[in-house]
Amino acid sequence: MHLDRVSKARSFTETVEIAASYWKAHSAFGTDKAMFRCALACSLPVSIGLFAREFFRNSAEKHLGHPSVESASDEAMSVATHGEITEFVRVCNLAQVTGLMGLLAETIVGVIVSVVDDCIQANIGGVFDSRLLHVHLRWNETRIYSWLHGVLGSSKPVLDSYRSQIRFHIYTIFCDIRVDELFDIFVEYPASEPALNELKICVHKTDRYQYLKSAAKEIISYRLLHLGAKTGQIVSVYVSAIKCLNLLDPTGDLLNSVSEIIKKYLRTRSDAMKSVINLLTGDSNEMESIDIEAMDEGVPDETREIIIARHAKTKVIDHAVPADITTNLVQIFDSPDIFIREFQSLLAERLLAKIDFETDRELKNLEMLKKYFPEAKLHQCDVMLRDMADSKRINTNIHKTAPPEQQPHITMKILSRLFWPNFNYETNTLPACFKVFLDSFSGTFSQLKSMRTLRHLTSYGTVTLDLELEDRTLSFTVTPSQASVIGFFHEAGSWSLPQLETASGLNSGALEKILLFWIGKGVLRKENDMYTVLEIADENFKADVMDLEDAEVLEQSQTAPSSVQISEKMKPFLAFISGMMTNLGAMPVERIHAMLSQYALNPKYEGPIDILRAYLGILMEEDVVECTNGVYGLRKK
Amino acid sequence: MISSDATNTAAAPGAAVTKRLQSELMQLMMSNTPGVSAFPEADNLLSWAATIEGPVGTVYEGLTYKLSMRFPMTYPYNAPTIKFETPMYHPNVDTAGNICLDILKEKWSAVYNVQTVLLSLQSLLGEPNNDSPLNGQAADLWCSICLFDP
Repeated sequence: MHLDRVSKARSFTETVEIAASYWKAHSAFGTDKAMFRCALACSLPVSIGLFAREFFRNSAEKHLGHPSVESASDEAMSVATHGEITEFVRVCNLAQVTGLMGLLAETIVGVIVSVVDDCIQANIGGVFDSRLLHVHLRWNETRIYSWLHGVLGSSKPVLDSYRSQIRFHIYTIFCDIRVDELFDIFVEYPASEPALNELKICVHKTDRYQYLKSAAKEIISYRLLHLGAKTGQIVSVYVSAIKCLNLLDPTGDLLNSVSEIIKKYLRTRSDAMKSVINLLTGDSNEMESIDIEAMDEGVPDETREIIIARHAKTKVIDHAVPADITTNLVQIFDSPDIFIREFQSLLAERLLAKIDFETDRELKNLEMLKKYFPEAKLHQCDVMLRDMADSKRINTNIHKTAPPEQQPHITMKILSRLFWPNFNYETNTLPACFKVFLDSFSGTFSQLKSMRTLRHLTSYGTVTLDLELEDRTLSFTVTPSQASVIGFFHEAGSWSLPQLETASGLNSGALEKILLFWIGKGVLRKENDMYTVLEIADENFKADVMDLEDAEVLEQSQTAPSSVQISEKMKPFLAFISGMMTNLGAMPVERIHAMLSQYALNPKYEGPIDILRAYLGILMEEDVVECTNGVYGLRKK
Repeated sequence: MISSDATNTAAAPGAAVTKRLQSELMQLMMSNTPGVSAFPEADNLLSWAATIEGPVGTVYEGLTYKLSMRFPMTYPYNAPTIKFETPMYHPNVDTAGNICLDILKEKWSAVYNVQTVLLSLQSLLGEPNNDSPLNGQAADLWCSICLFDP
């Protein structure tokens, strides 16, 4: 009858009560003892399990929820659960006597493990910036160990085995959680460095390097390498992934396997090169160089052990030297030549956009690149920078030597044509009021440097001008073509579009846009197809109407001078060009030229490649075609 | 067999097939058919890349599909081998991109050309032949879509 009650008992205390009374009454009889053991064995694990779970929940909350107060609550265990502990000890004694201790201990350890699971998951998920592993390990070493010792009273080897079992479990759980969160860890680096360090320890302790490797690859391709991610984002995540992976695995093996897939993917992105160069030369530059240095520090002892251990296992003999970030980024592209060419054109763009001649930053970038490329390949960039320095000197010189009445109010950048990317030479004529400056500059220049002549690139640069009208003076900073158009109005007060077209040499489309710009600024007025200067401000003028046009005009003036003839001549081949781009993807101009020569037979394509290049330029203006890294493709709609 | 023949002799394909494909390319470029497009790949006239836009009003609307076309030396007396290069989920296209269309197989005729074949493929997207599916799952799914169609 007691046995029935034992097996039906639901609560822990109830079980203990029944068991104790039964034990007292029937201690003398062997058979009953055996039966009692059976019953106890059936019901104890359940009730003990429930109890122990409750107990460890409390303990975990106390010790892990607020790790800082841990030391203060040293006696928390005994105080909080004093009553229950007594009960617990009673049943443990009972189990000890009946020889059920082993079973009981297994149950308790199982419960501890599952509670540890829960609270680690609740505690560390999404928290990367603090070290959490040691808190949990200490909980195991001190609280759980002493509790097990007090309750079970088992021998030391047994307890030690439980302890290491739980410790291993903590490492495993940490490892699992952190690997799942690997992508976020990459993104949040360097804030996530503590989490990375702990992950490294856990991977080492649980020997799950291969798992980490395959998981990292999977996560990267699933979360990063898809159409939704911008190239710039991919590159910046790649950079932090390089740092993280080098930290996780200083041998570079992990990094190599992950960067392989990223590199492969980035090669399919046409703007990858630009993003990389922007990153290398952009704002993140300082951070970069620090990190590169930091990585050269050498391998810490602990990780060296890991390296040796793993190499012994996998029998990899060649010691891949961990590569730094820049090398990795540069390696995305097969040939360094393309990279250098792109860098050169970006450098040219940046130098031309400068108003002063300061090149410190560009020089620093160039020096950095020289660490990775043979110097001879960067020779052109050297010349470009030297051009800037020379220009500065020549400008000062000219401004000094020129007589005051002929003072050219301009500064020029004097470029060595052969070392810069190709420019579009403008065919337009400048109004006399500007030409005078250019001529006086060129005059002084040829006095200073005989045998050398200047060819003006009038479409680059900026013009600051003050327009003195009858009732007001306006200041503008505009593009050279905008300035030259308004300059013509200095010669005559009103122009018609065809007149202006002949005078300036600009095509009517570009010209109209520029005129609209000035109308928008309230400087010009259009009346019966004549454009006139508004000497007296118009009251009803709305300043903001033309804002949209501004951007367009700027854009327009940067591109090549379009020509109606080219368009006419190339029109029959547009279908071919768009056909090949649709089906074969973007391609460089040489290839388009070759394909047209081969396939466009009626009418026969024979235009020189320059005409084709100019035509592609026109198509770019018309938003039909776009060009990245020298390859032309259809603009996606 | 035929297609491998063709690639081996790609450097100097027979005059007849070259002439025919040249004129087809010309015709295709001049006609400017909306939604379909094709162009020979790098200096091999027997191997073309084609593009089909999903027809309006079908589930493929707004999507663009790339195909490869391989012409045998005996073209136009034998059909070209056409495959979807873009993954295509369609009752008559298998997972490798192979297409089941009668005019590309037993009903081929020399009067067909690149343009008509591409147009037929485009219309196949909207009206699959569910009786002989290559992708059974897609065919089943198609039938259940039809149930919901008004």
